Amino acid sequence: MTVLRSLLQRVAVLGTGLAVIAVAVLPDPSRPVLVAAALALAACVVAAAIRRPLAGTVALAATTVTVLLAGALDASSVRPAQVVLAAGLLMALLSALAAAEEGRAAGRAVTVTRSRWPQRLAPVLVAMTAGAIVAVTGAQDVVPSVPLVLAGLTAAVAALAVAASAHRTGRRRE
Amino acid sequence: MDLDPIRLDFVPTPRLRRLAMVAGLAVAMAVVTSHGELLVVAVVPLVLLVGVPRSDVPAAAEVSVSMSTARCIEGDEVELVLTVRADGCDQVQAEPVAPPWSELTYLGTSREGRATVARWTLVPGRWGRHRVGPVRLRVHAGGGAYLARAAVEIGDLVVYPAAAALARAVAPTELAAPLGEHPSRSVGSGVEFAGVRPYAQGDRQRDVDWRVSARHGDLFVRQYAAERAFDLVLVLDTELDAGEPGRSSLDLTVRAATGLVQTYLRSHDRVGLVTFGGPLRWLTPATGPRQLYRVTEALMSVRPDRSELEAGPVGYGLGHLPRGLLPHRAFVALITPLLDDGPLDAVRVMLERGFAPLVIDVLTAAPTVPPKSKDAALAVRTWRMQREALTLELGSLGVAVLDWDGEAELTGGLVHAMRAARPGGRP
Repeated sequence: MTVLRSLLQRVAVLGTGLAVIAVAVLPDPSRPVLVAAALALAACVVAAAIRRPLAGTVALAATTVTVLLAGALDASSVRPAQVVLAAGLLMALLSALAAAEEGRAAGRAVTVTRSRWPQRLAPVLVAMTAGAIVAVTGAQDVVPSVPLVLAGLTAAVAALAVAASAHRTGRRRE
Repeated sequence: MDLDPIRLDFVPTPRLRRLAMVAGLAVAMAVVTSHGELLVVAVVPLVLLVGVPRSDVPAAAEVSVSMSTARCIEGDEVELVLTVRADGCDQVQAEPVAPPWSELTYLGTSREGRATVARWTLVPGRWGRHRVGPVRLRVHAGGGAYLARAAVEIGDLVVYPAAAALARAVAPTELAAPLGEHPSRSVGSGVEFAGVRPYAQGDRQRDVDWRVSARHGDLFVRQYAAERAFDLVLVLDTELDAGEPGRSSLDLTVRAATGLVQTYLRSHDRVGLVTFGGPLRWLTPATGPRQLYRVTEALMSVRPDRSELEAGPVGYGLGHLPRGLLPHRAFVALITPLLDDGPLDAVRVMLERGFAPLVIDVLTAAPTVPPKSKDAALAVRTWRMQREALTLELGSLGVAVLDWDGEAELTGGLVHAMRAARPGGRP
């Protein structure tokens, strides 16, 4: 049972990794994207094989860079939809990596309690919806201007700062 | 059930750092390449990060762990019960640390109000005082972004040795101690019929055997065998322990001793105990439940602890045993794996003191020989020959050797061996 579970976890890492890379590189990949995809695939194989956090982080970083590189180098009309799908698959890859590493670290531990699946799935659905809204908004025909680009980038950096502050490990009030 | 609060010190997991990394990479790439659509990749992890802030992670959980019993016998089932109430946590994983040579089986969980109860069955496979636990908990919160580890202590489990199978307490026919339950050869006031003899003045009327008297035309009275007690002294060789844990020579030694002690104390015999090889310890023969408790406690401490192992051989052999310890005509049983000359010296000491011991050989394991290793094969052959030589030497001293594999019933072997060995004297 444990062996089967471990095998399934490895297959999940490889499968989601392959899916992200496939969505990122298709339909017409350039050479840098192909090189990044090959490196990402190799990193995913290593991460699935050894199930160590460092290997998982490298695999996720390589896969993310592949998606971003493909998005930056290919300006086709289907690219925004591909980026949304790839973002969702990246989260799936992140979960698969976490499950595989957890399976290795937990050893013979059994799960005593677990929150219900709607509770676990709700944040991901909200995040995917937000991503889709941003993608749809970004695909609108708007006359590009320097202030608009600056506003968008400032909003992104601000969102990053807010997200980081939400997880600051300072002394909390009891 | 009362639950005790435990503090949860959550630390970020790789998932949290990875979400931040994906968002950071996407924002950086969007800024560097001026491709705003790449920000979509950052949105998903950013929403997830904001959705489960650090402040939502709970600071404590309520836990209790219990064990169905603190004392058991080898092979008994002990139930471990873990009750957890972890509001605000995503997942709780638990792993009880089982003592060595025991089997732990997860039974499942059930809900009791707002708490979850998990159950395991623990089957200890080796006697001794074992520490059970702690239960290691892994608590996930914040959508898997935070992990806390905690350990909850369970307690100690005293595992008593399983007793060797003995159908009844057999004893030699020549017994010395009065007031027991074993019929002896001498005539006395027991209940077992021993024969008839002509009536003599002073005999009780109720002892007259009227059927025999009518047949012979003269009065005859029935005689009964005297019932005597049996003094058993168990001498345990604890110097060497060989074999797989749970069936090692020391395990079998203790199980054989436990079976003998329980059976003979139940028959109101007196039982004493001597251990040599490690520290020389003894218990003078006595009877009753208190002696059973004393002997059991003594048996539980025959396995050398760390300090005794570090101290090395103590050097006190059986020769240092007080002379008055062994009662006159006591029956001595030496339980040993026969792995060195220690048992032979012990037998010689016993013979010098006028006791002919019965040797119970408890070694069931043999060294494993690596394939194609001629030297190892030769060493094992030499070892086997040494053991055979030791057994032959014991035989030449007139000492009976009984092989016991830990499974067989001991009574038959004891009956046979006691014919060869007389208590309190040379065979």
